[in-house]
Amino acid sequence: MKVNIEGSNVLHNNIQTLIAILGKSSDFQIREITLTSIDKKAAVLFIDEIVDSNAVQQYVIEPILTFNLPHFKTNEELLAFMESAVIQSKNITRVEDVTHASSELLAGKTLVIVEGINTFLSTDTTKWNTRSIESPKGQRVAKGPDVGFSENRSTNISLVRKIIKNPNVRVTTKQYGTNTHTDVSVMYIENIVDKQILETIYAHLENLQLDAVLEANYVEMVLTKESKSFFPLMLNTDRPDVVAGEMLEGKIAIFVDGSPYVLIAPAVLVQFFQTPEDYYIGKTGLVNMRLLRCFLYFTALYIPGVYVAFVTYHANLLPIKLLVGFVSQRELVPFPTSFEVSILIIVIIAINESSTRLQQNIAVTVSIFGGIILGQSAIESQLVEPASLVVASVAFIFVSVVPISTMRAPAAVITLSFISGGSALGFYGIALLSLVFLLHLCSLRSFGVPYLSPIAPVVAHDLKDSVIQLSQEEMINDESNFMKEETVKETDEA
Amino acid sequence: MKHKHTKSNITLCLLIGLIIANIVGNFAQDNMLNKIYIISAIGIDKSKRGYVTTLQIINPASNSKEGAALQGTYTYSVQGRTIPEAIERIHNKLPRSTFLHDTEVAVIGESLVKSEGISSLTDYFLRESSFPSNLRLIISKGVTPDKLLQIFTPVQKVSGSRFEEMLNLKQESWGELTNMTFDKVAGMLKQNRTELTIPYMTVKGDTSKGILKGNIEKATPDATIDIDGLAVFQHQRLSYWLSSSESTLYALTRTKIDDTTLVTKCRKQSGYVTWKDVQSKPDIHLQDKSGVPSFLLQVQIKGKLSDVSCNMDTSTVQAIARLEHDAEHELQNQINQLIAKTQNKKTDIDRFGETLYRKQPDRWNRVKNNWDSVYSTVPIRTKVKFDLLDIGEISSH
Repeated sequence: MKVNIEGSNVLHNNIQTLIAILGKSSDFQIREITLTSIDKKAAVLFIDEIVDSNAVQQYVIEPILTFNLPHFKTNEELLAFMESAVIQSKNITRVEDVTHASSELLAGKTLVIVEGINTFLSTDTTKWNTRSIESPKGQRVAKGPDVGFSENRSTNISLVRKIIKNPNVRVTTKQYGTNTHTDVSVMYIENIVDKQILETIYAHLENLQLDAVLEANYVEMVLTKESKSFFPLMLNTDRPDVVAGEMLEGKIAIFVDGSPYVLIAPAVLVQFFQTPEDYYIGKTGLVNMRLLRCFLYFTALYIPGVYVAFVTYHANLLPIKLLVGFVSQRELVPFPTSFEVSILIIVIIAINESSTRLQQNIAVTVSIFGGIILGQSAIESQLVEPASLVVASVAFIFVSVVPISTMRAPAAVITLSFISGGSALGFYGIALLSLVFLLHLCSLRSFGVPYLSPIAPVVAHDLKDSVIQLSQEEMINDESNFMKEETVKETDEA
Repeated sequence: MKHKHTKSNITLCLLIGLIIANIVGNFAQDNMLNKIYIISAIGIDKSKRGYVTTLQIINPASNSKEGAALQGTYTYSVQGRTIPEAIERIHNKLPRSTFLHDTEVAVIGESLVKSEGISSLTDYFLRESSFPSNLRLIISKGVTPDKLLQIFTPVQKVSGSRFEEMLNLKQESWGELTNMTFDKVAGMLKQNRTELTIPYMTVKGDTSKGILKGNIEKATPDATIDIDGLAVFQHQRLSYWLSSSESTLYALTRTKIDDTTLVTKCRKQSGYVTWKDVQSKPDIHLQDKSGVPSFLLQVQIKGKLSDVSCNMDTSTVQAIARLEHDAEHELQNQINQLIAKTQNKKTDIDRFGETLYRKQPDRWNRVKNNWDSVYSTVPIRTKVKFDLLDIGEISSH
């Protein structure tokens, strides 16, 4: 669909072509100028809403109008002179192709074209309206820097650059999305990055063929499309300090314009349980929060399933007092426990979903109805057992301790499948499904790095900062290297 | 897109799995919690035509807030030629199946263990897998098990649970002896070296009033259930009862005790010394290597002084030494009397035979067939070592 149209020598033709491409948009401005000293016509082209009007006025139009241009023998000399001496913009590029020129216009550049010359001068006068820097919304911390990414990619990169002032930081930017032309930047530290993973990422990005890239997830989807897993294989964060920390461990950050979330690859399972506070708050307490988070998360996956299995099949393993309690609750409840618990979990997901999506003032109503009225009346009308409600709520609360929100989606899948396993086959079903998920986790690779590392396979060196955190001083100055498995090709050659 | 396709497959599988699981779970649960009566205790007694079996069924509704006034349990007693037959006949009276997995105690009638060996009973309970393996045995003395289980007990609505708790509390002074499960009993019967002892319970007061709800509507119930002592068996049959104090004394010589209370007489004056937090560790030594075996029973006791009712200064070192010495002397006498009693009754409950078997199995094999009569004549010396740990804060005043 991309047709390259060579720029014409006739000024009017060029302008007409651009008008044709941009379809007479009202915000497309054409300022025609006469260069009086050499008696040539010229035009300044820009899209009004996305350029800095002052900059266009002061640094492009004014100098061209006021400068007494000498006569040049060739057009090339004239162009070079204008580039070097007249236009005062911070960078200028030459564009010969009209289609390219149109995309430059759309990126907020101002084009200058002189009659008789088929080359556009593109000057940078972009001014996007963006949100100012605010606190991160996705990953809040109790203690630590309170700066979050915004939708502006260049601001985001600057925030990370500010943290890592290292000449080895590299950024490569390219546009993706045939309609949106979204800037996607890959950022890493040259001397510690894993080159192989970097190449994989570049290769995947090469194949990125999407009409639109509206959010980081579009890129994540393409990069991890080989995996059939419902576990996230890339880390999402809106905190510059997290990105910097991960990059210093040799990971690769991918910035997508328009998204406050930055992707980090490769990602392993334990990472989703780490918060910046693990490093910002000195280890003074006895409670290892990260261990607790892991424990609570995995307990939450099992609680509903085990509860269903207990009351459906294994009542003889319950202590008598608990059993009598369950039986007295069950006496008047019509539905089987598994049905009850799965419905309750779906209701909780619905409440959660609506309170995140709805307008803030309605969200309050939903949480009151959902949380207080629904729960109370469900029990009073003897539709559900109180114990089931407790189990479902506890599971939800426990899952909520996971700091990276993308890890909550797999929890719902696993919880519901454990409920099915527990209600169909009892403990055996849960054990079977656990094995299935364990095998699945073992088989997962995030860009060649085993998802369960450093636990399986054991990387003693990295274990120091996995589920349990050892001396921080030691970790900071450590050089990290990933445990990668040999690719199939390499093993064949060996 | 290929990967989109596979991910939606997972959702589809999950959905189908959930639906199937719910259907299966629905059918499974129909046979579980909604359709069971939980049994808290089982009582077995001898009758003219076989056995009387009593099941104590928990009323779950009484456990809820609204049902606080409801009766905690219902008991059903039925006769049968065998125990399972009697249980089967109880099912004729019930709309739901009985759930025996959480039975806490089995109450055996006095007349049953007197008239026939206990081994047929243990065999049944071991064979029947729906009973829990930690089902504990108690003997009902002077009252039939069905009456014992019918008695209303204060605080705990379910008397089966109450018995369990009583046994647990008694474990402080009787140690392992309270915990007589069927497999333990069967093991002891098979070894046949030490005679069996099983805790027994009696009803104090008016049994006929105790089985009415009025029993728990008074500050002092008309009838209470006491855990009184240990019943001693000889050749699988009930032989005699040990009183509460005898049982405590016997426990000192039999197992490790962590926390019991002892009372000894003051030596020269009238009055008693009470010891608390008493720990004991018995040890039996085989004395001579041939001929008639003789034994030395050593008991190491440690305790704190609780109460002295005779006039005595307890603050001096000499006084403490004398207290210890007096207690040793007194306990030695008491233990000697107890052992003499067991020797008279020809019941070796103190593991003397076991000691002989472990030290000299050949010699045991020669005497094991008439160990009863040998036991009644073997010389047994006892030696008590008493350590006073603490006389309390009183010394500082």
